[in-house]
Amino acid sequence: MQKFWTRRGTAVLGGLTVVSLAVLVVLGLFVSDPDFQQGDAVRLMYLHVPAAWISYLAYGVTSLASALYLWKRTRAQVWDTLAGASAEIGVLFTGLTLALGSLWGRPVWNVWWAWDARIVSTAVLFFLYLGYLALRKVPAESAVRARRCSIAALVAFVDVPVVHFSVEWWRTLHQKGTVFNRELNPSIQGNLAWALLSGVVAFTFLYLYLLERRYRLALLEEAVEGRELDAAIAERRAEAEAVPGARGVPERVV
Amino acid sequence: MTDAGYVIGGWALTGVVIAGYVGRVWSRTRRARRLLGPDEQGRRP
Repeated sequence: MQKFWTRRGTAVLGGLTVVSLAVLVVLGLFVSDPDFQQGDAVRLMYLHVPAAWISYLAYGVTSLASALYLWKRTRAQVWDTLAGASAEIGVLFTGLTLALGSLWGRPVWNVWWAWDARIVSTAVLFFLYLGYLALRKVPAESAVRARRCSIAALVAFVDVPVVHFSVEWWRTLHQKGTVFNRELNPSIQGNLAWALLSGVVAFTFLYLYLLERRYRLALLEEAVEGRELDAAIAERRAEAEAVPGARGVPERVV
Repeated sequence: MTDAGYVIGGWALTGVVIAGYVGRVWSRTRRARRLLGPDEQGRRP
């Protein structure tokens, strides 16, 4: 892992993210033609669809890392840390997916919200992983917390295929898959397709960059937490030793 | 509101959310590095 995350790698990833986001802005706002039915509102698709893709990707990484933590042969704290970092980004992008979908739905469907299978299952996904992040904050011994969070992440992931296939399984107001539909026949062409592709690429680089930064932050905060705990124990031990006849504080077992 | 208003709103919201998150991660990283001190800062994951 140490070899993989180099400073140069981070800088390259950051550069690719900035460049690809700039390409997305140019293609999405200036080059893409308006849709023949939706008009300029289609420009929201270039953010909404990539944000939804990143939600799937982030929860996929969280689930994979959680499974690797639960499997005894690969169990390591690093998988739990990675799962938490990816889930936080997933929640951010799921929230963004819902907000952008609402902004897109108002001009196209004339409603901000509909009790539609795709929209409701996405909202459920958002709250499931919000709950997962809350569970990570519950005080517990690190191995216990990691195990319970790994199980919760895998349970929550069950909703991801439900979200994806909801437009096939039920009659929905939401359109069917634009690219990954049942016929695997993309219903988007020309410069609209290029703008959408650039959005997917840009958001993928953005996700990888954010994951690297968030993962590193988690490691730093774990180190700070450990240091503060050591300092608190040393302080209590010193207090106990100062009292005549006291037996002292037992050695750290965490 | 016109279509352009929704488009500008959506793109602006996305920019603010992403920039806000990057800023939050950046400030927490700086704080953690400051608390750890120079000895442990150099240890990269």
